[in-house]
Amino acid sequence: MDADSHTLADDQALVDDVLAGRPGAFERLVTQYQKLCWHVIHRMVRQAEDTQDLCQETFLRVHQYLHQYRSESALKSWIAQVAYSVAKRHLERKRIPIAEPSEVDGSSLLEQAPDDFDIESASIESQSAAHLHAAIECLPPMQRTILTLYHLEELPIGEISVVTGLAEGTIKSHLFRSRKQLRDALSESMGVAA
Amino acid sequence: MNTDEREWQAQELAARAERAGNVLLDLDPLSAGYVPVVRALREPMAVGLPEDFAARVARLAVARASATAADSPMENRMLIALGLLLGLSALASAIIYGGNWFSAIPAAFGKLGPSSGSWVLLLAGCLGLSWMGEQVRQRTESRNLSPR
Repeated sequence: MDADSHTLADDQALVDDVLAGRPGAFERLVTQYQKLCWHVIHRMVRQAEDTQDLCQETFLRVHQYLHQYRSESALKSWIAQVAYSVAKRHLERKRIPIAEPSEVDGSSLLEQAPDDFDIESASIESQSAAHLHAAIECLPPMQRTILTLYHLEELPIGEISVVTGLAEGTIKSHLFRSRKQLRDALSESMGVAA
Repeated sequence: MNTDEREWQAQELAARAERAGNVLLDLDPLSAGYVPVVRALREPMAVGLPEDFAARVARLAVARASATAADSPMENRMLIALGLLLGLSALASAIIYGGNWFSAIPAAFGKLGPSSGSWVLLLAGCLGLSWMGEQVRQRTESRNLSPR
């Protein structure tokens, strides 16, 4: 079953099963939310190996603190919150900035695209998508994650605010500026291509 | 409506259209410019977790919880026993030697000289600062480690 189709009652039933120690309940929870966990953490840290370790750490923490879950918010948001917190701490330990260094250095997202990103080899039809994906990768971790939570996971801004601990106005501002940056990067790349 | 507000509305319209799958219908040029952006953002990501990830994590979580549950009662009993022992020792020492300590304190301060008071204050200040630092570190750590 897809995690998106769950109601709060379904969430609470699953949590109750896990807390009661019913066989297979926690495995079911992990199966339902592992994709979400990967999306959040991989958008933050980008390294696949680190992401896998941090996903494991996230679910161990979920298991440890599940008794603190209150069904006021969706379990999906609560788990995303734990994943975000684990990934954020990982980046802080590695002293990697999580937000907005690109705003001050003045270079465009296209200029920051990694050297090994081979845009030229892509077909004409997929070039704009390739440019966009390269530009998304160049956004700071927090902006990438907010965009993913909003567009891919379809979390409302209020829930993203709960996940990240940022004010709703700040989330909107990140969404607005990141999407504008991406559109500008796309326009720039089309100009370059032309 | 100012420029930023208009552009925000265009971004949101593009997002709604892309979600609904009707991107070609009646979009103004500004909104249409955002369609490739939201489409790229909605593209599914490859998930690099092994097939048995859920089963493995579930086994590990259950094993850890069992180990913690087994350790906790014994640790608690030992802590209580040690605390009681320490308290009893302190009480016995105070009863036996307490009178001598109280009479010796003023004499000890007299021997240390006039500057000793400031050193005691400095020591107390250092201990206080160290304690406060530890409290702040613990609070920060627990906030980062546990879900809000």
